[in-house]
Amino acid sequence: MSDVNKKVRETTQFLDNLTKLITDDRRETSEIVESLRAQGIDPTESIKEFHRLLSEHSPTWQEKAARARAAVVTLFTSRTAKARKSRAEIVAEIRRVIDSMRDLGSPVEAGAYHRKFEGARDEDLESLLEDLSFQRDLLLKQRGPEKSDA
Amino acid sequence: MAEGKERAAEILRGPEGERIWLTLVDYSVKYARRFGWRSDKTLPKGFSPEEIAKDVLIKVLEGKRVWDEAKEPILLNALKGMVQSDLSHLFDDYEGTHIEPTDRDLPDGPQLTADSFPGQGLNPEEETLQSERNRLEATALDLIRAEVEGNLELESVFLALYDSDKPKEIARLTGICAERVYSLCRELERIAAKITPSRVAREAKERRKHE
Repeated sequence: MSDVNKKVRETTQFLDNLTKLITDDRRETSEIVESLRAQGIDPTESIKEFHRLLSEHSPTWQEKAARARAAVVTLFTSRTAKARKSRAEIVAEIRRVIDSMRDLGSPVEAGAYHRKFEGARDEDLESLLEDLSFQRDLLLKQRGPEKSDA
Repeated sequence: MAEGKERAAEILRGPEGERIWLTLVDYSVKYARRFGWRSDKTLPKGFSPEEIAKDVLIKVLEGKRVWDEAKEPILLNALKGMVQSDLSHLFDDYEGTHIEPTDRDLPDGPQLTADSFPGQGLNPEEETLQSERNRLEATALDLIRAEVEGNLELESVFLALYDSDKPKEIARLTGICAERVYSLCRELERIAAKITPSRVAREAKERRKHE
């Protein structure tokens, strides 16, 4: 082996040995923590992230159950919030949508909707509001290009 | 017996879990620097050493990378191996060791190029790459040497590092007590942290100008 090759091999060996030495597993945890801080890593945040990853990618049955429970609570809360919207508020909103549809030139039969309001249940009104909002959005979209054509 | 991913999760949730994680992140940081000392590169695509460790952890937990306890009984060692493999892949090793052969078939048989004779040594491209790596490594070594110069104990440990990576063996080689060697290791760790790959690259560039 030439002197140059020997020197190259020794240099590589030295750097490998140094890296191995300073990553020795037998170090105290406090030394590892200190080393991470010196490299700009916050060990406390890193540990939090570690637990988050564990919980997300390998949840225990307790974590799975807690997540399912939380999902049910969220669903229930959102439904309750929806149901809490008063009938009068829904009707007022429907009227606003109908008015804006008329402004856009859509022939909306107010009377027909009024009759519907009388006999409809809250859930039906909510559904009607969704339908009308969808139609109004569609009209708005159609009007957009027409205006630009004009 | 629990599957690799379940067994890994069980250990990571146990009393040693946090220590394993911190050791792995520390390992990733230091090996990223070690690879950087020879490649004049930082981690590409915005990767950080901590993200490499996270990626390995996620893949092991999801079973996308398998920890075979029968082959490697210590989880930390298995994780370290995966981190090192990913780092090596992200740095230029992949490019250097997976050069496509340029041989092709002609009507009268295969056309032969330098790649057809692996026994002949490195091709010119590989030689340039290798020479650049050697230059960077030599610069890193010189920068470390400059930092230990004047401190007799550190100089002794520095010399012993050519022959060993074990504190006890270094203590034997230098005649310094093992406890003191551990403390000198921490000093070397601080020195190594200052020798960043970009500093090595800058110094190597500067030296080339004066050649």
